[in-house]
Amino acid sequence: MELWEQIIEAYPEILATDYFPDLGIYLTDDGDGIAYIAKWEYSKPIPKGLKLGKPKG
Amino acid sequence: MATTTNYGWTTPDDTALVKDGAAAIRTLGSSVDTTTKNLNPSTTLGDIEYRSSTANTNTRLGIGSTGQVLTVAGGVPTWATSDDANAIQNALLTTTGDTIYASSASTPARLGIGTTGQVLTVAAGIPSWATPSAAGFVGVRLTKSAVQSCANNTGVKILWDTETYDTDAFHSTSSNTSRITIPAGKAGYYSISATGAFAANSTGQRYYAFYINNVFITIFGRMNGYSAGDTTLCGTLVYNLAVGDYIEVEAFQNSGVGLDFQSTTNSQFSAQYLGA
Repeated sequence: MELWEQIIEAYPEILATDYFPDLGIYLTDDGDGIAYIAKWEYSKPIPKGLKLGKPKG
Repeated sequence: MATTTNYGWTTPDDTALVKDGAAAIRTLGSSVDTTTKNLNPSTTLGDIEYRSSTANTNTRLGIGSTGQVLTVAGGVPTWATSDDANAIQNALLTTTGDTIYASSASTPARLGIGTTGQVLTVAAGIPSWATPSAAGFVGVRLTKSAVQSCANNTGVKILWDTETYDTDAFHSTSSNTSRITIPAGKAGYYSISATGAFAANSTGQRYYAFYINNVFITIFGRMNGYSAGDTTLCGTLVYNLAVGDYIEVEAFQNSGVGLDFQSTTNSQFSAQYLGA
């Protein structure tokens, strides 16, 4: 499951076609296919199991 | 008793009764002799005289030795040994166009003339002739040979694997291929441009953004998706960049599904050096 899918699974009020940056959710992929949370300003905390920043390794 | 105008020699008055003419002549002659000697004290071949601090009295300057030059010391002329060894020697200049510079303190050195078109510059602290760098184009243009999948609602750094041109190793096709990096000697203002095309899809929005050193700079081309063909975004930016700075472009889409960033001619990333 991709990162954006994990987020909308945790917060069903967010739709796949919502514009995440307008919600304060910034997901980034440095081009290596690994998406991560670059910034989180959503009104609710980062879902369990997810972390801010790029995973090491 | 009358005297002469210039040297004050004593002469008989016109009206005086000359009763001791011989003595008067001796007196006058003696005065003339004394004055003449005072004015001409030379004794030796090559002697010269110069005016002393006493009126009507010259000082003898004996001839100097071979090679000496006449100079001034203590306010009067004197002979001195010339210091040619410390003068710049003619032999230093061997060729038309040669110039002289100090290779170190008090050390003259020859700089041979450069070739046609060269300019005088400084290298390692001394002057030298150098061929000016061609005022040619400096820049890089990148494209993609394969599509790049962009996850939904994720800003993706676009990778570039093809260099249309790259004058100064701005880009590598093997590492950090998303980057245009400013090489040594090329700091300054750049005109940066990028175009990008997402595969056809009319849901959601698309944007393209410039990043410098992985810091967001500006977004451009935010627009709705297009279903009848690629959604093409473009933008330009002029920015002052330092050596080592790197530029990237990020593509974003929220179609609700993953979407390909195209490898067509509509996807390119370029930078042109404008000057320091």
